Amino acid sequence: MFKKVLIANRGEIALRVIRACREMGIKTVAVYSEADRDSLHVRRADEAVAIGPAPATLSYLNVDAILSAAKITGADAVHPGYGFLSENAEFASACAEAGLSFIGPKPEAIRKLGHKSTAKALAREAGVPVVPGTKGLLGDDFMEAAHAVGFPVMIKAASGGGGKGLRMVRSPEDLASQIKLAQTEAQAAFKDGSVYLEKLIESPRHVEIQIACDLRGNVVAFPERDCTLQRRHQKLLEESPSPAMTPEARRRMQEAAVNLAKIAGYTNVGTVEFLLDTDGSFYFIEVNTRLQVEHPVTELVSGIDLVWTQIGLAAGEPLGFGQDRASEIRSHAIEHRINAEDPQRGFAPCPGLIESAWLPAGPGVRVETHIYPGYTVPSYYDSLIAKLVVSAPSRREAIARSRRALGEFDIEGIGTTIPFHRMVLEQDPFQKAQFDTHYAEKLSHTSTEAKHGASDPALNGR
Amino acid sequence: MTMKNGDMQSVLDWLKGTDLAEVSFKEGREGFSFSMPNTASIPAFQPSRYVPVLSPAVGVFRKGSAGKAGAAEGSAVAQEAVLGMVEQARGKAVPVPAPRAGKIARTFASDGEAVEFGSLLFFIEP
Repeated sequence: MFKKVLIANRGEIALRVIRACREMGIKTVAVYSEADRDSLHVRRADEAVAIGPAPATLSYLNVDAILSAAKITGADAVHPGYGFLSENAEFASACAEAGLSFIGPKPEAIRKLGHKSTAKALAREAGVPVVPGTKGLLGDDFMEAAHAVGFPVMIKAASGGGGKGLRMVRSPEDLASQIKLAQTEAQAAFKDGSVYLEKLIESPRHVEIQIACDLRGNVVAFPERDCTLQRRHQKLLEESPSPAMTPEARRRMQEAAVNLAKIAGYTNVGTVEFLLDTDGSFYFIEVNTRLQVEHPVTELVSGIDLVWTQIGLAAGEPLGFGQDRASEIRSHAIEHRINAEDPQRGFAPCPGLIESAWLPAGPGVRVETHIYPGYTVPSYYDSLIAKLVVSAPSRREAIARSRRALGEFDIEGIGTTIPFHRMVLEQDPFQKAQFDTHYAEKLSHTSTEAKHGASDPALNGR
Repeated sequence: MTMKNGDMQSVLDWLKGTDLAEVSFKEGREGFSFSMPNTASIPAFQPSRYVPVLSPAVGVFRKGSAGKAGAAEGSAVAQEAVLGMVEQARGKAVPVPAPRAGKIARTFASDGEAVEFGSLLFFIEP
């Protein structure tokens, strides 16, 4: 087992890893930027090293600085957390070359699964369903291709990203003109006008499978997490099990994730993301080759510590349990991401001084956070300041528990998404689990409009 | 800037060996001020004459090449003279330039010492 782990991250996830290490008897090294000197992860680690100025490119993304910090402290392993360098194959290689164990998958696996096109090809090879679409780029036979895929279709840019060259087409008569527009847009944005077609999944849910794989080829898949409540592709609330899944669909999805992991030679923990259609069919989206923000949801459902598991796997230990144990559903869990953002002002970031903070507690409540009264949320990094995770025997009881816990959760000094989460729990579609990935966007408009009605001063600054 | 108690102690130890009544240092919102006993009538937080040189990177400090004598205490340095290098992993070396011309009044890091970003390396007397 490792003797000293350097955590190449900040905030709540750095703290989460430090806690796991402490429980495992492993020493920890925190690294921090100038803006994070007062963060709790710096205080809780056995050692802390200042690695650079506030901007992440000069600190948390600075490979030389992080490797140097590992060297001067004598760390033998690096935990990348999520974000920053966690899915960077070059960083994983650089750790290995510096004689450090990277707590994550092998660089080759990150490379293979990190790019959507190669990951999709692997998924097809593993027999995992992908969103139906044209095999390659569109040519003159685009009309036949579109009919084969089935309307409505999405036109997507081959070198795409950020919504550029992305167009939805409902009827065949619009197809030719929309393809032309998408090609022009893609050419301007990426210097590559090639496009392809994909079937539009109109009302999808976002469901993902946590996997864990040891170095001997053992792979297990946990029950799914449902991350349908998201705004602009940012997850806001995750729960497990998904209220939209059947045991049969769950089994098939777990099997698909395991097959993909095996064909990719994947090791350590990871997550396979799917779109779940209203008819129960599901399609592969991508693999996250790291620990996820929402991993505690699975921990509460399964009773298995994923960070312990992850560190053990990286040290070469075998998985201590099989698929039957991983499949166990012991409770229903919900995670609320509390961000320093004002839901009444279009989720604008609200960095600043936390004057006071009352955290919820009591039965079935877990809070992961690096904040405390007097802490200043820096403006340089993402706005996640806390995760509230509850568990209860059923979804109905978990919602009741969330409502109670969010009622106890008060942060003063900066705006947070706590009021948004309180509001979500009261919505009929949420309670009945009848919503898709577009739902939170609509809800967030509602919460912005609410501000222009009778504004409740008690909610300001919360 | 990042300072540890050890750094403070070395400043304090050095102060005891000088004829200075007090030393204060301020950067941004942070700083410190030391006064020797029996000098309390002198107002605190007078700006120090000394210019601190902080480590620009995390790594291992190597004494530099400024002048033939190296960046030793008492040696005169030009502005931007390289006072030392911070060796990083993968062979990268980050130079430590003198922010001002002057005399090196005090060195805080020895050759081969591990330093953090912002560690105090020198005081320069302009």
